[in-house]
Amino acid sequence: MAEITLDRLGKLYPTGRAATRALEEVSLKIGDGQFVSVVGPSGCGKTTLLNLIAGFERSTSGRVLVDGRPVERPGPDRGVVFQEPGLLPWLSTRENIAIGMRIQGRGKAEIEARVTGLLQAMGLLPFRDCYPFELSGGMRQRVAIARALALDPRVLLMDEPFGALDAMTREIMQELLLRIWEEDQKTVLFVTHDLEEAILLSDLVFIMTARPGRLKREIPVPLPRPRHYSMVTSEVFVKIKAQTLELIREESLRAMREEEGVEG
Amino acid sequence: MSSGYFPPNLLPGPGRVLAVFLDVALGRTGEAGIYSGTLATHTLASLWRVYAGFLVGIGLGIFLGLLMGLFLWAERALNLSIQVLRNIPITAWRPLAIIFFGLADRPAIFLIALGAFFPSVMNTIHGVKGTDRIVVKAGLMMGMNQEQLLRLIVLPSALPAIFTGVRLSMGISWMLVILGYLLLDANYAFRTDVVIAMMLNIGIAGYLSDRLLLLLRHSLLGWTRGVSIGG
Ligand SMILES: Nc1ncnc2c1ncn2[C@@H]1O[C@H](COP(=O)(O)OP(=O)(O)OP(=O)(O)O)[C@@H](O)[C@H]1O
Ligand SMILES: [Mg+2]
Repeated sequence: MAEITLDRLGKLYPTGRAATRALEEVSLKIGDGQFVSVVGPSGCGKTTLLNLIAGFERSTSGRVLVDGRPVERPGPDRGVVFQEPGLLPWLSTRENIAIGMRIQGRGKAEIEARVTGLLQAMGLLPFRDCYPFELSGGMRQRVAIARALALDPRVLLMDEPFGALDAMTREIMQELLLRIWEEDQKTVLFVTHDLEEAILLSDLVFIMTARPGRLKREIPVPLPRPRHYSMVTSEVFVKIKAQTLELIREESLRAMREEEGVEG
Repeated sequence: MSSGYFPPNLLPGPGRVLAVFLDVALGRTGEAGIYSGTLATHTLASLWRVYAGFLVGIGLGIFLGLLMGLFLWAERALNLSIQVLRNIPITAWRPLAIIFFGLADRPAIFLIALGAFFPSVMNTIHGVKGTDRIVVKAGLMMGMNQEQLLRLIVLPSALPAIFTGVRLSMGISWMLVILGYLLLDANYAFRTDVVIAMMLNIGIAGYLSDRLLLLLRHSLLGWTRGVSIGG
């Protein structure tokens, strides 16, 4: 029930003398219930793209459509998981997950049931009354995911959500995310700089060019579902990884050369 | 008991101060002369001045601080005046305060309010501007409107800074009430022992006021245990 269409999307930031061209002519389509990843060199506009779909920022050209309707403002139909947890430090785990539903005016019983379900799914039940400062980084990120899921959004936007986690925790979180997604197939847009992560999780990997960010390539991942971590050694995976790695290398090199050029 | 360097009527020793303090408080021995037994009245008068001035000052400070932290137009309109005014020693306002408000309590309350205003306004601005952008975005994602963002996100996240300002304001309020005493009552000039006893009294009252604020802070801001150091 949630399709995302980007139609020649562009974003200029008016900085200093020359404006920064963060995004240029990005057109793509994400089907209902698809899990897609966006990878690209640092500063290529991935966060900008996510901010535009979330409605935190307005595009300077082109359009973002969710289910055919232009995005005008943020809203609970598009849950966002930020690169940092961004929890409300004065609320407990339980309250952090519940507050969105309170804003939506849901009933007490419904909130209670849903929060308990999410606490369970995320393995946070023993920490339900802890404040964010009492949680580990991985736990905080799980609360942030639970908070977004609590809104029951049709679209889930995730900006390098596991970037700050160690490899083991990240692996566990990836599996957790996959299980949740398999259960109620939301449309997921997942930003990451970890290529393996992108391939393992996604139906489709979008590779972006260095700034100004454009769509460089769209790579389908024909691995079967449900996915499992052991697939990283499969032939299909290895082939796709080699192919994507090459494309990314090209762009990262180009990005670095350009930065040098700007400074010189 | 006096420190040998100064004549006891200029710098009384601790024993003398304690005796005078007790007489000012209880009025039994008459050692404090005309001040004997006046502690309750004095303390009540100071409490009234301090709290009236303090509340007016922090009320205005927090209100304007919120406006200036939230809205660029408010900051543009007020910032320069506040930055200039806050450098003027509060005591320099005394003649003007008397011209504006006459004598007795009102000029003192004005001076205390003025002194309490600046730390509160500065810290409130700082607190509001320090609100984590990601947390604000999270609120927007949940569908919060402007009023909800202010009440559920900006205010709580600015509250520790606001409290710091309020605490500083409280300290300044008591400092100003001491100045008020010393300047208003010329008789004190001949009774150093009474002056020190009064200083002690106000110091204790100020300390207790601060403990009260800390107690309030503790019950309101339990979550900052892991965020701030000490306090
Ligand atoms: N609010 C802003 N104002 C001005 N320029 C901005 C703003 N946000 C981003 N930019 C610029 O837009 C470009 C893209 O930034 P963006 O954060 O989208 O990159 P990114 O792909 O998410 O990078 P990273 O992988 O490092 O997170 C950068 O050049 C950045 O400097
Ligand atoms: Mg980014």
